[in-house]
Amino acid sequence: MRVIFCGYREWALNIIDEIKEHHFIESYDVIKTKEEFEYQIPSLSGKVDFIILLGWSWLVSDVITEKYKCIGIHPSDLPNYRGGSPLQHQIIEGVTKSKISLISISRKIDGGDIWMKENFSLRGDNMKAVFNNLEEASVLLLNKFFDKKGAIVREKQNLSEGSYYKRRTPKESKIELSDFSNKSLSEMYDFIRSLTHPYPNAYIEDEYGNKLYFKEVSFKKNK
Amino acid sequence: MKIIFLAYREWSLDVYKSVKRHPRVQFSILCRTQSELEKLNLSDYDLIISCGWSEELGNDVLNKIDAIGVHCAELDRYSYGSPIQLQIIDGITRTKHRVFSFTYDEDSLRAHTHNCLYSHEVDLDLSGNMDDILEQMTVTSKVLFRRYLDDSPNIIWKKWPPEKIVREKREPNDSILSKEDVSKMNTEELYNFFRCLEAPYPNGCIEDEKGILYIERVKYFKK
Repeated sequence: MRVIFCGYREWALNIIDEIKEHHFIESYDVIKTKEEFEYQIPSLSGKVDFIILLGWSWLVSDVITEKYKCIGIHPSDLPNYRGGSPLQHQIIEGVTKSKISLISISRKIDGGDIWMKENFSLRGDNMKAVFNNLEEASVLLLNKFFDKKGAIVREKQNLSEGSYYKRRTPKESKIELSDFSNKSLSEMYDFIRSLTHPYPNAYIEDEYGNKLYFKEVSFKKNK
Repeated sequence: MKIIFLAYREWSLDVYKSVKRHPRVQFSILCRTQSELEKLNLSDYDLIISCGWSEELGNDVLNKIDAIGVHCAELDRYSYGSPIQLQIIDGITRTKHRVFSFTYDEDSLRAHTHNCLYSHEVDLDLSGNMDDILEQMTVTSKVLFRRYLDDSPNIIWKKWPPEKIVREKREPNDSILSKEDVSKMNTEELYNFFRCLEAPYPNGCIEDEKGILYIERVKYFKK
């Protein structure tokens, strides 16, 4: 099989490093930027079995998705948590056991056919720990995918079900001091840990514009 | 000069490397525990240098050998233990790091009893995170001990005025805030509270009926 991997984030590159050795992958290329993608993909020669996008931020044109099998991993149990910031939205809403979904890239954001799913834990004190979980789940899923040489029955998403979210903005990382009184500390923990590096950290801002950022937290449940 | 160097904290162990290379030091030994110190024949040595040591030396030691140490406060203030934490929580961002000579008084509540005399001092900045402060204390301790050894035996001792306020050493429970405590504190007070309890100290935390939220690292942006 010939595969083109597209990804630039650290966790995506770690997944590519692990999976590229799969015995059914005869040749592969790695594309790390939008510019490389726009230049290289239209001029591809020969057969390409799959273009696999991992943590890719840019839209892929219909011309490319119609010509090649373009698939990507979305870190949620689709059709739930389609759209932006899926990790943050799930963690903030208290989801700890989720799935990653391997889907066709289509015009509808995160709305393509589902090829496979794999269990994925959202636990961990920071996003580094969550990314480690994501890497492990993705490697497991892609190994299963390549074991079957991609011969998998796809399932259409019912987009009238599930949920869609917008990408979070840095201003949404603000905590009101009163949140510490009105919310449980477990909720505060989830909010803060979902916004640890590399995301805009959770912060409190006072009336003078001074900001206190929460960079690392942990939580211990009472027995 | 033959020296016994007392240190066990990470930041203070680095100071030993510098002190033992001083040209006045003919021989030196590092003690990491009180029991290691008790095994030594003190009459074989000229001076004890204590760096971040938290145990009392007692008359058994001080009747036999001179001892100096460094304290990170404008003594006589904050001489009862937890000087970094107490100063930061009180809003102090600039203080002194001073060489003092040990005495022993079993009735004293102070962390290290002394005769209100210091020989050398440098400024110490308390405005950053704990790792910044401890890194700085490694450097200032090196400077202070090397200056002491440079000037030895012609040390000029300066007296500091005694203070009557007793600032007791912090207890582990002092690191716990209730939700009500948090709601009464401003952003700078919260920053100071949490940053002074960053690693290697037991982290500042907030407790409710369900659990404890540990704030491990914070950052402050002052407008």
